[in-house]
Amino acid sequence: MRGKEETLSLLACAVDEARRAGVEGEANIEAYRESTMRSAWGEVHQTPVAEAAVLRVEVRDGLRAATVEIAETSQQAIREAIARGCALLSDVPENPYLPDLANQPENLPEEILGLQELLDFSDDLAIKERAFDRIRRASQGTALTGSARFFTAGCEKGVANTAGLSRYHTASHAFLALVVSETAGLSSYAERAAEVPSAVDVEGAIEEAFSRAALMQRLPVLDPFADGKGSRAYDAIFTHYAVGEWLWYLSWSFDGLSIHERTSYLGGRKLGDIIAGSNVTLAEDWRHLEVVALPFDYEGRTSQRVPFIEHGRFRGAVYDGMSAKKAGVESTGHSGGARCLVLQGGEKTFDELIALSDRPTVIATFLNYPGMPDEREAVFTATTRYGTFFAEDGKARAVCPPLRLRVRSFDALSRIEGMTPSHLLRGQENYGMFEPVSFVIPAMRIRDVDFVGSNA
Amino acid sequence: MDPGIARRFADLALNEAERLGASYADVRLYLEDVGEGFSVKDDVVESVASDSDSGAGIRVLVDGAWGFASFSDLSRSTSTCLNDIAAAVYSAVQLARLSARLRTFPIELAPLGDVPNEAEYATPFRIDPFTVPAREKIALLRDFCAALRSESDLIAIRGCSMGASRTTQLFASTERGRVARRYVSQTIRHCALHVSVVAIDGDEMQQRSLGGLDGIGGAGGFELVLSVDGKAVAERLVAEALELMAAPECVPGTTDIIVMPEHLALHVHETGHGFEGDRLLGYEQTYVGNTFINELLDRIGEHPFASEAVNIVADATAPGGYGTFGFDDEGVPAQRFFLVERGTLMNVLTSRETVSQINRRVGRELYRHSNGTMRASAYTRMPLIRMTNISLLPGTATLRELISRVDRGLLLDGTTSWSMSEDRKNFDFGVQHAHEIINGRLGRVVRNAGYTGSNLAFWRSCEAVAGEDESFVLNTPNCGKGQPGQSMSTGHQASPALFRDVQVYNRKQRGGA
Repeated sequence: MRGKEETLSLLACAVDEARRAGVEGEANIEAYRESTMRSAWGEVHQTPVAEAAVLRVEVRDGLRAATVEIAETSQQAIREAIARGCALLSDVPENPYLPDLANQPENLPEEILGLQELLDFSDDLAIKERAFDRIRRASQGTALTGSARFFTAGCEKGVANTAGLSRYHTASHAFLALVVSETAGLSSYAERAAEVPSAVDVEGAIEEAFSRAALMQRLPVLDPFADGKGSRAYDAIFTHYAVGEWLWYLSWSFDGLSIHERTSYLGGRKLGDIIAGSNVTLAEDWRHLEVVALPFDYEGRTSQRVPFIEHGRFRGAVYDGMSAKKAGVESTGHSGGARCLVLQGGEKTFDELIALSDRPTVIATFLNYPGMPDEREAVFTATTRYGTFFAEDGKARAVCPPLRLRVRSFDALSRIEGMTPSHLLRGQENYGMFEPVSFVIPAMRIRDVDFVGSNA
Repeated sequence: MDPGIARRFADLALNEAERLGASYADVRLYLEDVGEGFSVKDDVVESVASDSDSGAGIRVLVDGAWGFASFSDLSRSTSTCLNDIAAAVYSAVQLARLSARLRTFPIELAPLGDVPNEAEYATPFRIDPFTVPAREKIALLRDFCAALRSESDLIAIRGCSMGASRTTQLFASTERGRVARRYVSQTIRHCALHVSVVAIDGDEMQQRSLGGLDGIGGAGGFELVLSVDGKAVAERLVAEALELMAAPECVPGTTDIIVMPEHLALHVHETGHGFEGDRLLGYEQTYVGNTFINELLDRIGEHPFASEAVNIVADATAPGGYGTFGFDDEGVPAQRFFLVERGTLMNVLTSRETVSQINRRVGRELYRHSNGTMRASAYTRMPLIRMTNISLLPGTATLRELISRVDRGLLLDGTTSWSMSEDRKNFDFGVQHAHEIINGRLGRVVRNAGYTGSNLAFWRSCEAVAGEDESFVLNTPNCGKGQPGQSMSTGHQASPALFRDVQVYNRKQRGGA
């Protein structure tokens, strides 16, 4: 990675070249360094590192725009890229929704200016070696094996344009995902995330995943669907991980364009409408102390804190420049979508949520490979994973095979009976560039969740 | 890039790796990786984009463990690139040594067998999309989009897009015990087109799209786009979307279904993940998951995976497939082999590394060589076992015959959603379009259909597959796997097929869960 001075200098070069070519434009740099260690059945099988950068230049002539993306960053390469963009531009018709170029904000808040240090991960590999060795030792003397992936990444992002904007920030992220397995097919899970690898709570992950696996070993196996009676509703308790998988899909409902186009559940609904229970308050908020802070978007606009739901009422959605123009509203600075979700938690412990199980209750640790069979009504499906329990009379009584659930998401948000305090859940790596997603969310208990089959 | 310089870069990487003690090393130089994309929505040209990239990924095996490092931008001076190559090799070797301390047994590579030391491959194509002027491509998309217009105000979103890519790669490897180094040059070309329409009325939303949810695509050139009759496609999609808006609801229950290939190919895709040898060995335990094939592996060659009507092949040589190539990213030649033959489980997808571990698992020499399925999505990524073109082979029936065999059932078409359990045992698919079948004839269109169940039971319930004439090749551009994540292109041919007693549901939960 280059650091602030060199990155902004490159962006200035791109902007100057655009001006020289007689066009307006916006230049965007994303650079990252990431390092992963993965193991399978306790054996480390991958340790890749990658460092890469992309320079994206959008050239404009009025309402016409074309984008060229390159990995090369010499002045010659930038000049050629802009020439390529200009050649495309002559063939592009006007786009009435092309957003205006962002202006340089005045008086940037301190929390934005402070996010400009490149973090040093020189201890990264030593930390990972210790973590994997510790996981191996935790397995000794048990019938269990711990496998893990430990990911660390740092990124820098910069945007500049011919309207005078020039912005830069850095971010970093580390997380450990630990799977504890037994050859009989049992598997348990825990993860811990932090800003830097040294702050990842390895012992906490080990304790959580191994203790859940040990509980699974002790309990009898029960397939509730063995009775052949088909789908039925159970109360359900979702861990933070399960809530995270669900919420990630649900967050698409708060995308401004999908609301404007009415493909979202929220399309046609008004701000202030009741869409969830009064105990639900959800926001997109990069300023929250625990999330990976992303102070501005690809267009260089400061990302706003956007309340999605306040005490069950619909309060807002995220927009980038083009979707805002289509919808006739202001951009909220989210051209990358919502990526810093904060769901206000409750005060119960996870054990207290289980203790409320006076009716048959499914405890889901994780929701695997979800899908949204109906986006318009936010119908969500997934199978449980990494530990599914059946609770009755206030206690976990049996371990279940993975179960498939299918829920109308917003209806389910109206049936939350209790939540734990919220805490940080991992960011997600994406496919080829570091774009963190982080959630601060609680575990929760939900009444009457539809389960439709089992994996047995 | 001058081929001599590329060869010099490769040789430096291999020399350095050997000098630092690697028993095996390979380097993948992405000499050129270019793409372009155009999108039109509701008659507005929203995106015109071009991209280019270059870089190198270096993988070494030291002390029985892998290390991998990469860097970008081969357009810089030769001396700068040479320095970066040396640094990347050093980094990869250090990572391998660290990994070796965290393993209890060494990684062993299966022998390569009889493979050429030098080879070249290039995707056949007729029209280079990069030579077609942007204005022509934009005009074509605008015509498609205009054809999707309707007098009905229920048609809410009309979208078309196209994309093309061309990647030229030099693979080189060195291996202790093998005298000659290997050099494989490949240029892979892909082209894709997406056309879709969305109708909305209140809480009702129906989508129809050309081909799969991501449209149509293939290895080749612009001829693929030109082969589409835009006007006819648009008329059909609009008519079907509007028909769905007025259709009655799909009623949940257990029934016979005929699945059309535009969607069935995705079901084949999702099932195909279960055959990945690295999943078998737990390599994806910490992310995408395991596979139910693990329970069947010791009965490979004899286990009744599906009904006798089911033949599934992995074919990296199929013309036009997104999973078609000359050599995989270990330099192993592209191959065609059965995964399921007349219903019997026959093979899994392997790599050089997984062969010995799979053999140990089954207690016999099931494989001697890799069957060539290792691919990486970019120079920044280590290769993984990836599906090639995993296809359900055509049968001998016709769609008309399949329909005539059904007393009460549904004909399902087009993908809306997909979800699998981590071991691929349980599936859930939403589909765009469904017809009732009553007494061997197509009946009303019904809306909001989906189907779910056990994957093994599903494939065992397959009674018949229609022929080649009614097949479709789904090319999936964005199959996700691995951490750090990799997005890969895979291909899947399928024909309409009849399945008995499948659980059908209503996607909106109307009529029950």
